Amino acid sequence: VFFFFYILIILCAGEQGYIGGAICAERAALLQLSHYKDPIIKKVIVTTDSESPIAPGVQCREFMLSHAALDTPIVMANGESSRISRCTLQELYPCQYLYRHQRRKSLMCFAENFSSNTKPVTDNLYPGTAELFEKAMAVIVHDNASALHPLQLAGGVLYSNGDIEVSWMMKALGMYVTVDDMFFACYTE
Amino acid sequence: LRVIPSKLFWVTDIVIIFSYTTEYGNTLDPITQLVVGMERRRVQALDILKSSDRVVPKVLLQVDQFGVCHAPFAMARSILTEHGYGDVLCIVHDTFGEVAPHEAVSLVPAPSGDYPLTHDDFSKIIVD
Repeated sequence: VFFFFYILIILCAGEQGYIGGAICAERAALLQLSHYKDPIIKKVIVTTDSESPIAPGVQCREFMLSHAALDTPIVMANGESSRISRCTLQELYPCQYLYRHQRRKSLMCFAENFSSNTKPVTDNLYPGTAELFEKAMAVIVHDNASALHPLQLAGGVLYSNGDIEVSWMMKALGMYVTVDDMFFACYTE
Repeated sequence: LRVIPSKLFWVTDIVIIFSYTTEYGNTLDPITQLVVGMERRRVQALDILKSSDRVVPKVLLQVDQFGVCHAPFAMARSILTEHGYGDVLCIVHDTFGEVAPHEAVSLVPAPSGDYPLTHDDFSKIIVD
């Protein structure tokens, strides 16, 4: 016998003075699911007071992919529900992060195994791409905060004149985010 | 280093939520950092009248220490597509390990159908 509990979670976007730290309504709602054991997201509904429906933002799409199945229906509606559009999560965010379902313990092993079957990056796609790959790999050691997270990332861009610029991930950890900053007291009805 | 899930305590009629957490959200991904240089070159190129003489980004990639190429993450996808770099080719390993090129704009698709607002539409509404 299976029991299904349907839980409707409604949240709105949270915007602060510095817009870079804002959180969208979908992510705010998904965070509430952490209070439930192994929740299954059946559907995500996004409504707005504009005339046309609005699709989830890009960060939201990425966030949802770590918590919901690729075929999760996304329903977008305007405030009057006179215009409704539907799609799946997969349609909204192609080329999903390959390691998104890996837990930290298994991540490195999975990545190493996966890499043994990857094809090399060559110049077949665009001249200079192989050199771009090599130069990015060469600077990856500068992403050296592996204690924060073991996966290292580097990036590169190839310009039309053949110039190459590279960078690496700069991991950061806000050590001040402990009890005080994340303390909420909500009076019940 | 561990992320401890939130704990919920009920104290009479007050709900207190403690959350001991890390804040990886401060991390800067490689592609977003590269956009700074791309923007610098774009602004410097404004004085160059012939578009064919302008230096523009053509190919982007993001790779991990195992040599696996990942598509740009959400923030980078958004920045690239909303700031005129939608035609830059992103090199990605797909789930089968094949190398697959994708234009940046294709990584932020609009939902099918006529109704939903695109990012461009939404930007116009905000500006208006």
